[in-house]
Amino acid sequence: MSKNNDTSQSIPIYIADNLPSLPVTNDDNVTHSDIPLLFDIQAIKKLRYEMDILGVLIGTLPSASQQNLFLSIPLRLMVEEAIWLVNSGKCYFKKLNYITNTGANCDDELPKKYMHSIKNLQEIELKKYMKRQFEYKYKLKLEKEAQFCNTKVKSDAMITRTDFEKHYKKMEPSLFIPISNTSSLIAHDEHSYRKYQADKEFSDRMVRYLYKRYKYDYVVYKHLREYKREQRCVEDMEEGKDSDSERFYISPGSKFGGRFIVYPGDPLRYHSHMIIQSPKLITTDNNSSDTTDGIDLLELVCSGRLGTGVKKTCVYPFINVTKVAKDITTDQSSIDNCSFYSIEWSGFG
Amino acid sequence: MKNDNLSNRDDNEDVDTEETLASHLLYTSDDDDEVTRQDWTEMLKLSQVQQIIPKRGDKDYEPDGTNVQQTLLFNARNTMFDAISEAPRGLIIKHLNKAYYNIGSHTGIIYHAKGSFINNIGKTNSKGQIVLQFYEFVYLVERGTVIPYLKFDEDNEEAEIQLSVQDLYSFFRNQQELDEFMVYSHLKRLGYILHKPENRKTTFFPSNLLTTNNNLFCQNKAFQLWNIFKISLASPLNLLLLPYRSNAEIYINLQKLISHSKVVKTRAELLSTSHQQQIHTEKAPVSGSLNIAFDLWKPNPNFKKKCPDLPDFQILIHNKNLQNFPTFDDFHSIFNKLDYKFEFLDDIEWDEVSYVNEISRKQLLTPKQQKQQQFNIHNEQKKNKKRVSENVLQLRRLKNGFRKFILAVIDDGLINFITIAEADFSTENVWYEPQRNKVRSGSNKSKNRNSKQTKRDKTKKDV
Repeated sequence: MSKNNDTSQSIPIYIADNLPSLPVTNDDNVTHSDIPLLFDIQAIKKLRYEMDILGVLIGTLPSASQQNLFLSIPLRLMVEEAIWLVNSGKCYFKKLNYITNTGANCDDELPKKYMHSIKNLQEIELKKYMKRQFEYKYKLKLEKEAQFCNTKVKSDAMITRTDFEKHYKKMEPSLFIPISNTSSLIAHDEHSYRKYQADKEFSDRMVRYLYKRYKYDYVVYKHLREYKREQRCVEDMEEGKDSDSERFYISPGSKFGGRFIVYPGDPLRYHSHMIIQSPKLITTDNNSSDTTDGIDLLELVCSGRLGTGVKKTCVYPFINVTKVAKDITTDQSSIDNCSFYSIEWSGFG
Repeated sequence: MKNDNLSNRDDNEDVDTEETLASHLLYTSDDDDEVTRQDWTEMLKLSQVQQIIPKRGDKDYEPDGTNVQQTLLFNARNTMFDAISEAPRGLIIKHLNKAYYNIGSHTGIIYHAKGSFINNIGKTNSKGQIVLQFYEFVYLVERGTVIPYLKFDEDNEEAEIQLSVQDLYSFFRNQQELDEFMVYSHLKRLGYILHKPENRKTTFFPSNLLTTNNNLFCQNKAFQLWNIFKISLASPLNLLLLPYRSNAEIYINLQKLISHSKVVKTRAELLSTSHQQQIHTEKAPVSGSLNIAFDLWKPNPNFKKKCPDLPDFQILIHNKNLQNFPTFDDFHSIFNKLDYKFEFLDDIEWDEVSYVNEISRKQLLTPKQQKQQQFNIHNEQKKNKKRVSENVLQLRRLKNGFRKFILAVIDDGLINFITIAEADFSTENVWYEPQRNKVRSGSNKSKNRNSKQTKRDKTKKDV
């Protein structure tokens, strides 16, 4: 299913596994998690710089905790984004709720030993981190004293053991204990338990499940995602331009009453151009006649006025249900299964 | 000359000139319409020094392929990631607050809490420890107020590991919990105080004051009896026996034709509606989707966790992807569950009408607290001293409605807050009624008024 079966190079996207043991169904009463999350800042950077994936930051920023405009890790992806990334082989799904599986709350000996080893490793790393902090702060203190006394301190001066023992306790209350964003349990778990096969099975199962739930939205997203690259590929290759850099940036559209919001470039620098509405379906009945979901007239007027008011184009996608693959394993990118129509309020009269 | 000067400068200066020119040329009034514009430059400085929220940055319309835009974008992205990396979560040892997560009870416990956050968050148990709900626990960890730990061996007190943010998110038990946490953290960042409604003892509806609908029933019965003798509006006899003398009479009779559900407007009506008794019998939520998620209080330095006053708002959470939008019956049942400061009630002292175990909250306050409350009430009355005309009051009633709650709609990490209120358009008299001039005989005032009018009339005639 995913083009690259090797998960060692791919980025893990964490998603909670509340799926039932029954086969995958379309039963909407099944509760599950459809929130893909990322906690590693390097992974988030890579997705943004190389794959133009935005996501939404949902964590509190510690330096400015009383506002909602600038937020921090974790990064939440749209389900459609996550499915596209996994299907293209750049990422894979990984189980988020793993601690109960590693036995944090059970009486078996093996998990307790594992936890003890994690504890020891954490203590060693924390000691090293505190020592580095102390050395940095102590050197700063020496430099300030030297400035005051008009003397110079050697940049490579070593801190002696006596200095360490003498001054560490005084400085200890001001040393910082960090809270990590990424899990140390998982990092060690990878080496000791080799869960490659389990990860792959979980990833494949999750992608199939999410595709069934978000099939039509995913088709729209995929078309938007791959549109520019297809159009410009030949031209850019002739001109020597990098066609991968010319992509739409897509983010959730609920602020403007749509399904997606499309930007011509990174939202940090550019305004959005389009509001993509929820897809309308074209179904074919037994007599081979097509029926299309209609657009309510009031909805049409509202979309037009909204688009004019916020200076964006309202776009309606229409999906031919018969041409959409029932399973993501048979999904092929096809221009026929989705078409887009934009509306503009003319304002005559 | 100018071009030569430009070409002789260094590349950096060229870029600076281009930047200022480009940004000036590309600036349009479109920027005012954008809801989210992020300038992470000032935020990076905040990681070192505390400042006010920075202004939003300027944006371009679309990529034009120039190096200027590429450079600006590169700088913006780097600034954003640096601001996130250089604002690590954590605490210095002097202010260390260790919070332990308990998997069984799904709560966090702080054995020796330090800081002012304990005034609004968590509960104090009999041992003096602070017990945090899971969403409070995660919020405090993200904020860097507490450091999370997990004890994994009951026999060994030192057997504890430090948890990360990722580990905490792995403990969310279902989607609904994560949605609640998102709304909770969003509102806490704005400064509000939030708690679950089932933990609150203060109520507007003490069981000893609730009455049945007897009086209203009698009135209805009398009204029904009176109706028997009334002739149908559609009957032609109506116009002969009861002719209309004004437009208002026509509108009043038309109003009677339209059936409507009664909107609760007064304290007596709130207490007398019989379904309010269900609040006391069915306080535990049946299904999570249609229950009030949080009580919300405005920022208040004198907030009391043990005996809070009635909340200012109540919030319901709706996940667009998982649930169907509530129906009319759902809204009706939600309105009947509301128990907060009903702001449409006039001239009411909230401590008098809030009850804890059927005792008025005013009696439970200490003299110092009562004084403080009186001071707050006096200040509010001062603000509201200005008299407002009946028309304006009517507009406010139509616009704001009566009982209301806030619906938080979640869509892919974005939250929209919508106020849903009960409006009463059917009983409001919105038609124009000209004022009748009351002329009294033998009064000097009216004579003077008449004399003034005649003078005015004279002046008008002259003109």
